[in-house]
Amino acid sequence: MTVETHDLVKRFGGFAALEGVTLQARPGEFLALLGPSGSGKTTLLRIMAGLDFPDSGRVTFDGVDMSDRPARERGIGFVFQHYALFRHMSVADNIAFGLTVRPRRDRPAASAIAARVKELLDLVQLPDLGKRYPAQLSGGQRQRVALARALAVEPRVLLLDEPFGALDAKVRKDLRRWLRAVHDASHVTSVFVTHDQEEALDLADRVVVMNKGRIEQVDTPDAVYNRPATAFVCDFLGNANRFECALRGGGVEIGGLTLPNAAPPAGDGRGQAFVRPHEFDIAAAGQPGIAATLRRVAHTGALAALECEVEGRIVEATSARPPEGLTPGDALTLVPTTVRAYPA
Amino acid sequence: MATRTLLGYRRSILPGFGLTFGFTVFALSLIVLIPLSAVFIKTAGMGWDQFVAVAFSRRALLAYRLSFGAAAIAALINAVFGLLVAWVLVRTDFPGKRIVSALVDLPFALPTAVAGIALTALYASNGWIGQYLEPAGIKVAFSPLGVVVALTFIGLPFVVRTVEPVLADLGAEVEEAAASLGATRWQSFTRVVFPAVAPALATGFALAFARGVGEYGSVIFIAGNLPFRSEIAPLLIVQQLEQYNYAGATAIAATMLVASFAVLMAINALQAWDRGRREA
Repeated sequence: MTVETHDLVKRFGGFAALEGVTLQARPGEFLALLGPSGSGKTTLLRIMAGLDFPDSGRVTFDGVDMSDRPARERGIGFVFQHYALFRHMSVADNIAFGLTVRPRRDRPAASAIAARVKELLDLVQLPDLGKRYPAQLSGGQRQRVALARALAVEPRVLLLDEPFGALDAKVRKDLRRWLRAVHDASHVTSVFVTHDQEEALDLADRVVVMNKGRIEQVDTPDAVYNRPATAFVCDFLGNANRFECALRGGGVEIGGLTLPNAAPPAGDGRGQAFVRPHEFDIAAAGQPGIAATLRRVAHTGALAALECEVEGRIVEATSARPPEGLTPGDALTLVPTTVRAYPA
Repeated sequence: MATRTLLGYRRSILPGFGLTFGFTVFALSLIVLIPLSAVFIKTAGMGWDQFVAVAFSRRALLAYRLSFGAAAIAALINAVFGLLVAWVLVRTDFPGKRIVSALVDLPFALPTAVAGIALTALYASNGWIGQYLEPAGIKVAFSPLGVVVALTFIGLPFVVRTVEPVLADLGAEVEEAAASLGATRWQSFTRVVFPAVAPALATGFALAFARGVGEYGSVIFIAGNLPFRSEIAPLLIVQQLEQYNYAGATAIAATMLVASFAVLMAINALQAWDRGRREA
């Protein structure tokens, strides 16, 4: 199903959570809403779900206006960061909830509900835990139950609010691979919120990068990472180092070098350039490039991480073949291999 | 490692078990058990026939019925409206919320006699509310209904304050989850919210009920205290005391104590059963 929002605006008191958000989730797509906290991503998801209502703008499902429909009539599945399981119900009753609250004429027979619950317990790989209560499960297990509960109603769209936010790193990684597999098997349009760029890039078909209530860029993980449309996206993804630079004739002038601009073309003038840690070559002092002083060097496996100081600011660089014998205090030159620059 | 000491309790990081438990027993004995046992000892001084004559006279039985009945009805009313008040205080935000929250506690702080007089003035046949109710045939002041009104006033904070933290802890998310799964508001209340707060609600009910059974100050003003009709059991005790019949007073008190204890135990047992059921 296609989920669209049209020019959504939402304010909480004086704080503008959304300032005109227009977005489309395509049928069967796995869409990530990525942004720092306060960027409006959770508000956007909750408005899609009908758990919050916009000040203006519309939400449509397959072209049908849903703006005034309450959450229970939207046919959605919603997964909360803190699971929101019903504590007084067994796992099986939690999963069956969405089916048992249906009006009698639409409600499946008890045996059909039991069969569906069993099927979902198998899907979430918790076949023997139907009789347990949420308090007896681990965090990862609870989130699987929450997902099974959301899937039980065969939602037209699955909305997930930081689904792995409360879990530890290992469980997080396992669960996200598994969630992707569940999605690939069910092909239900899914939208999930995260502030973890690695999670968004790893999991989603397309990533929506949000900042201060606006959409900065919507594209594939590869495109948002390699061709960031705005300075914000470039800064937010991939720990980029920021430099002052000048833009002239499509080139970027930085540290006495003129390099081609890997970002979308911009006019001439002052600009800010971004260089990711692995996009530096390390050269001897005095060479053309950015003069730096080494502060610390850490050999972490295949790569060496260099912490350098440039004009009072810290710049991080990684190198597979750093010059031997580097010690803190040494002067060196950082030569950017790829630069993305945006008008300041 | 769970090691055992001579006294047989586990070594624990929590300090001072011996001291705190000792103090608990001592304080409970001094403040609760000794006065209560005195009631039974004093009662034991009178003969069985005499005891039955005082504690189970028709007048006393009707007074028990009014005390326990009105307390139960008032606690039930408070359970319904107290839950509503708690829900509003936890889930919604409105200007003056702190003031409303403070108002809920007022029945705790107000001398009960003041509450009784105020309620009587309101509900008497010439009072602000009573003047409209009386022509409709509803007599509140100086009737059993007045007792219920007074006990409802007294008991409200018990329900609100026991349910409030549980409701806050439950969070709005479970209600949103229920809505996203297609539940109507009524289903969300009956199947998600109510079962979760029911144990706290039962505790609040029990507290309000116990308070109502023992309430004296506010009731004697509004009840009218007509023998066989609007006379509560604590008033009978006072009357016995005024006649210097201490044994008679303790006989009624002992009967009330046993009945109250039985009711509270029953509520506790119900809660324990409910807990056991959901943790099994």
